[in-house]
Amino acid sequence: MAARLAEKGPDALQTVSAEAFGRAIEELRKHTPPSEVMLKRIANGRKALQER
Amino acid sequence: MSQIIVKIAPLDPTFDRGAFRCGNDFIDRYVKKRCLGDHALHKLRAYVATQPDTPTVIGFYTLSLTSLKPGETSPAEAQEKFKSWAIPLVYLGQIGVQEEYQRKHGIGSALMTHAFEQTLRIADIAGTYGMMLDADNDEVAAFYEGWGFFRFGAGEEEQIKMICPLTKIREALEVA
Repeated sequence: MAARLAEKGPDALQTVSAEAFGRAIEELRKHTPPSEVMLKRIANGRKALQER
Repeated sequence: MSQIIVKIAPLDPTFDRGAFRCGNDFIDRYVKKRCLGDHALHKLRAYVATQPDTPTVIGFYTLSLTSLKPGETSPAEAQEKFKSWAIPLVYLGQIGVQEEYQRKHGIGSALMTHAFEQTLRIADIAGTYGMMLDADNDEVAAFYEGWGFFRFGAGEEEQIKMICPLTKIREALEVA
């Protein structure tokens, strides 16, 4: 998992199209449970994390 | 997968970043030259993974805060149309794992899990709707869909904007 994200720094405020904003709001209001893949990755991540 | 144990902690000058190499020149240079300064200024927070009792950085990610707003729409119009004029989010700006540790030790998963845990803490302290990132391309976006992110549009530089909702992060951390 190397450097998979965009090469940019943080912006305090990001402007997107109204259409994209509407899609984001719509998706955020849905309840979508985590997938098995996500749960498995988190379980793997915890195995690698030192006890805290 | 051969498991190794890592410790993830906020960056400080005692960590050895000199040999960090994740395969992306921009991030490699950033880790070596600029991230400590940005971290010290609280422009963002950088977290590093090391093996216990060693200072050598083998993984890295950054978090900062951002808000999304709709273009060409006044706050009042956005409130009327979307019932929200901005979306507060935690921004995952960069993430990388040292080349020889990639894809076999769970370090990337440990970094993402830690980032989700930090996002939950931020949500409880200051409020956020979830975690956002900009994926460079479709392959990267598909990878992060596996981490619970949805796509909602291309950014100004044609990167793919993605969000993982806080509700999903919370549920995943409780259930996994």
